[in-house]
Amino acid sequence: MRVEISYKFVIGFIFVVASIVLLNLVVPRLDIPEWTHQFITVIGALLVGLIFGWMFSKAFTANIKILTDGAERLSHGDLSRKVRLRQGLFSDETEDLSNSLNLVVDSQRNLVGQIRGSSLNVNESSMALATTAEEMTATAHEVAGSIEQISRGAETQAEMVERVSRVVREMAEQIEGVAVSSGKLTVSAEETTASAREGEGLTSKALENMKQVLSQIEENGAMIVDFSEQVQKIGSIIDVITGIAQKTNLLALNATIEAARAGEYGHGFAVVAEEVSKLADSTSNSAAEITRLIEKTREQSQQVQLSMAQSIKSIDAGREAVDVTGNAFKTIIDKAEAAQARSIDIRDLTEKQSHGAQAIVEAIEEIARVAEDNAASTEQVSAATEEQTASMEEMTFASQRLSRLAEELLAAVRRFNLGADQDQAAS
Amino acid sequence: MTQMLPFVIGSETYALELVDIQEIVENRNIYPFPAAPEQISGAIAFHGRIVPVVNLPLLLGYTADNLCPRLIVLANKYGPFALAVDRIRPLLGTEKGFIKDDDSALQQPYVRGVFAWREEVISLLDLKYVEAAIETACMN
Repeated sequence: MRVEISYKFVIGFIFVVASIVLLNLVVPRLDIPEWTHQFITVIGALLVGLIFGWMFSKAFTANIKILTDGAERLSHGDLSRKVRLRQGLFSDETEDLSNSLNLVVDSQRNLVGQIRGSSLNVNESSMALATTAEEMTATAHEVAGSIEQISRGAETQAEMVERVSRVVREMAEQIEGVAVSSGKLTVSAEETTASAREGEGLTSKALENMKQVLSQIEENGAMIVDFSEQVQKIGSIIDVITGIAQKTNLLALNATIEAARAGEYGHGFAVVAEEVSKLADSTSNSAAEITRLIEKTREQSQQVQLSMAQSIKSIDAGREAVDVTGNAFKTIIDKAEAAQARSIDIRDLTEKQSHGAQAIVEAIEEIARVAEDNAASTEQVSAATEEQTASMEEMTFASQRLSRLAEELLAAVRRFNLGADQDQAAS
Repeated sequence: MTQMLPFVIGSETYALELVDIQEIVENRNIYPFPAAPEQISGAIAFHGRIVPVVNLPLLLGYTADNLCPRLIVLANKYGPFALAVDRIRPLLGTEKGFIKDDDSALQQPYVRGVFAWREEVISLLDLKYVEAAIETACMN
């Protein structure tokens, strides 16, 4: 049964007043001196008042002490116990207060438990987060190293591509030079062909001329043979003349001998004989001269014949040489034409090569651009990775700070005593 | 002045006085004697007479086999016979005084004397020695 405290006070007051009235009624009936009546009544009233007051105050103070203790515990964070009032006959506001206090304890207990659990979780999570962040930082460092390597590689690649580009450009220039040379080669092959054709024409003309010369030399040879025969005939005539001269000489000698034998008479005869002998001698000398000349002529004609034979041989050799030359010119023409065709092929090929080299140059320039882009991107990535690393480190710091905060929070809520089961549940 | 007929045997030039010579003929149509010595080539028909031919080079001891195209037919007091020689040279006249008979200068027994003629020395053939040599050859 619920009686409010004010009512309880009123009831107590009523009880005190009633006890005083009752005493006032009872005391006169007792056989005690009169003067004591007043005294007993006052004492009785005081006693009743004291008893009631003590009882009430005890009842009140007991509950209020319990409440104060509970509030005290609450203020110290002890949430392990609820406030339990002594079970009186009449409940009053202290019970409400205790109920409210218990509600506060409950709700605070839940709150602290939750906070504790959450902060533990936060701690763990932040720990894990810090670990992860550290791992990520390490990974980011590795990534940064790799990217630096990639960057260096990209720079090397760019240099290499530059060098390759230079080399290919030089190659392209050289191919251009080869193309020019092959063009010149084609021109000279054409010139060679033309010259060889001219030479072939000249050779056939020379061959014809040589044939003409040969026929003329053969005619001349026949004429010289005729001439030698004529000279031979002259020689035989001269032989006859020589014989006649010798005979004349002999006759003149004999005439001289005869004249000498005749002595003085034969003197004129001797003179004539001497003259005849002189004539015969001069005839003989002339004949000998002619013979010598004929001999010389014969020798010369033989030499001429020999030299003609030599000339014919030489001309034959020359004809063969000219034939060989003509064949050589034909071969040269064939070769020069082949060379021309090949040089044209070479020219075409080198032109193609030149185009190819140009394409290579363009491709390499493209590669160089891509490599430069790569290098730039790599630098960007590197910067981003550094930023990421910095962020990761910040994150690590933040998570460590968070962990610390969670620990602080845990430490803050640890002073709340939730009792064994709740502690276990919280931890 | 004495007229001489120089003639050549091998490389030597000899001479005969013109008075000892009858005629000079060509060496042809020689008819060899059977069993004659080699110095006697044979005989020729000379103006209706048979005249023996002596191979003078062989007689004088020349070993070379000469053709001897000329024959000197000697005057009647020597035979007559003909001397075959290599070559006849034109006549020449010399004074008697130019002929040296000095024996010490003569190298061969068939040389009667020597004389100079235009930078060359010509030996005068001793016909007596030739005659004696022919006789000696024929006796053997």
